Amino acid sequence: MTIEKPRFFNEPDRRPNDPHRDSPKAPEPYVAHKELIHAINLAILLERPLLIEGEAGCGKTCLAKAVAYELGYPFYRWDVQSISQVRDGLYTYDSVLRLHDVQTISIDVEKKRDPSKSGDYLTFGALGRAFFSDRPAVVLIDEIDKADLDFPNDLLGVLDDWKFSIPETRTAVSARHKPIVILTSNKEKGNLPSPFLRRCLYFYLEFPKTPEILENIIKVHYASQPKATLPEAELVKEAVAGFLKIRENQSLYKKPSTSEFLDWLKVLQSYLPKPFDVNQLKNQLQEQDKVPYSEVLFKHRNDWLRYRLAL
Amino acid sequence: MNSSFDTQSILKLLFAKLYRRGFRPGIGKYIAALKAVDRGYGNIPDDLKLTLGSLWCQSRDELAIFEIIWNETLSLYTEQKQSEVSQASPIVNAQTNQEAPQSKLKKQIKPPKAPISKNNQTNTDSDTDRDIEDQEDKSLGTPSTSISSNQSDEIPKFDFVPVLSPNAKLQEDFPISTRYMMYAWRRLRNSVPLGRPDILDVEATVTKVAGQSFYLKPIYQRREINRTHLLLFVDREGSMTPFHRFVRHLVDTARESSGIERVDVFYFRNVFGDFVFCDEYLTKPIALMPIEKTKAALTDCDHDAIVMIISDAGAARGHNSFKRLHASTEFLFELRKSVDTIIWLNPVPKDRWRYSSAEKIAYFVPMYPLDPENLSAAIDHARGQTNRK
Repeated sequence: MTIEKPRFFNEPDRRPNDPHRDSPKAPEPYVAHKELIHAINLAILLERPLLIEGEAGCGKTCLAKAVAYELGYPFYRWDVQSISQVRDGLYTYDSVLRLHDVQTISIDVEKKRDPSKSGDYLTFGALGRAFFSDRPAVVLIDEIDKADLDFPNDLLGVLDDWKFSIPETRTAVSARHKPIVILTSNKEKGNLPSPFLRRCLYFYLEFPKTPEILENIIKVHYASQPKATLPEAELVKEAVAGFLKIRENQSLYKKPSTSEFLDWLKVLQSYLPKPFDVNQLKNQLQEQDKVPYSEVLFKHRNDWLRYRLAL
Repeated sequence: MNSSFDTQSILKLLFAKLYRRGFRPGIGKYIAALKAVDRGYGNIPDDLKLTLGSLWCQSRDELAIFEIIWNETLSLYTEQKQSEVSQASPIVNAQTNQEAPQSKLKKQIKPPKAPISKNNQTNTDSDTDRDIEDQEDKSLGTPSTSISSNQSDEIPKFDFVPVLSPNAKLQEDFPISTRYMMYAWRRLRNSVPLGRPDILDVEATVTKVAGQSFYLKPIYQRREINRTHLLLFVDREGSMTPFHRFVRHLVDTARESSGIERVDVFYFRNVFGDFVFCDEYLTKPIALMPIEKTKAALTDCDHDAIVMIISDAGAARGHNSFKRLHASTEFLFELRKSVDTIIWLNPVPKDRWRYSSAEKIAYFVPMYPLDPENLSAAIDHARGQTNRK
């Protein structure tokens, strides 16, 4: 008999009535196309990590939160750094504090920790906490490409068996439910090791290319923020058209992302007491080929100089 | 089509094709694909494509190639299906033969209007003959023409030209992968505990506490740092031009991802002359000759430093130049006074060294071709493990 696996539909209303206490409290506005939804469900079915690559700011990180919210699963996020080690994600053990407590036990009698119990000095990391959940957890391992060379290889053992041992407490931990693991990377060199990639599912998140998708993203984004004012349709239309035109410019050092676009739209709408004039925007974008508030969109000197308005 | 969509045959065809094109999804992922299909993630071609794309591809480039192979496989599968149908029901052969190619044509480039065969009778009678002829046409690479006695609507396909989408970014495909380079350089280490003292030594701390019967502070050990000093002399321009990107990658990985404390890179053009350069565009020279200046250039370089020269040594063009040989040996002779380990890395394969200056220089200095195995051997050599050459 096969156990029915949960499915993700990108419909936050499907959230169960009894979500896990570590599940995101607020819905994550997310527009996922059917290919991406398919890949996530496949990862859930096959219990394999899903590696998502794509430009920075195209929505890789928000996805895991959206999945956790809809399924009511706990969400644990691990931001990988260059010095990250797999053990940090599983647990940390504070030997110095234990040594300290041994010395001060006679002075501080009300201490909550007991130096004779090694477990009192153990703290579980994002990945470690996923092992104890009463339902599968959604673990986001963000920017895995930033880690040290050996990191993916070390992670492999954990992702294969979902077991690890803690020598300090002489215990072994096994996952109650295999977590749903989403890995993100924006390195296009593909230098994650082959044995690691072989175990993952792969998805490349394309940048939204049509005005309809971008407008839909804006709609969903503003729907989740009741306090924010949705810009007028004309302004949105003009901003989207201008933004997509900018993205077509192949000579840009760094193309602006969706998140930068949303910031830009917010600035157009709310920076001045009145929203930015549509005709003026149209004129600047189309006639002058310049961008108001270019510092919001462009993060490279040459790009910024190319599009900034003359003083 | 959906009801009769045979996923098993598609999977087999596609897996074999992908394997031939260098994909290595592995049998585990084949079984995973079967499981996914069994659970409804591939009942229609579009779903199957998404499933297999996610499962069997590992990069954006692979996805782009997968798209092409998928289309090829699907049309091959459709052809197979159609031929099965036509064999199974010879009565409807005439109709199938007329319709099938037309539907196929719509997907392809519009052909010059071929004259319709005088009688379809010949066509329907000799299906096998036509197949054989088509195959011959394909194998000879000649398109079937309208003057053929047997009417054939086959058009030469340009499937063999991989047309990637303009957005696809091709990644490097060097003889040695970036990751392999990093690992290779990392083995070149001379670790000494001279780093920051921030590694807690629990055992030593407990021993100290037990000895003095009170706890004062933890004992930390120093981090180990890699004290290797690597000097790279890189040949630029001329016959080394095709290897620029590859060699730059090798140099960059040594500089940025090797953990080696000090990497000095000098560039030269063709032969060691009076100068080497600090930049790869050969604009910032450092005088080498007279030899006193070489020593100045190799400031505080002790005998433990490792020198690696990256050059084709004339092997790319097969030159056997006395000038090159003389300049190289003179430089190496002087260099050997300052450092013990000198290794030559040659991006040209070993079988091309013969009769060129490279062959002669290889007598003076250990020379290794730049491939994964030999880079590893060169690193072993630099570490003092000279059991092979």
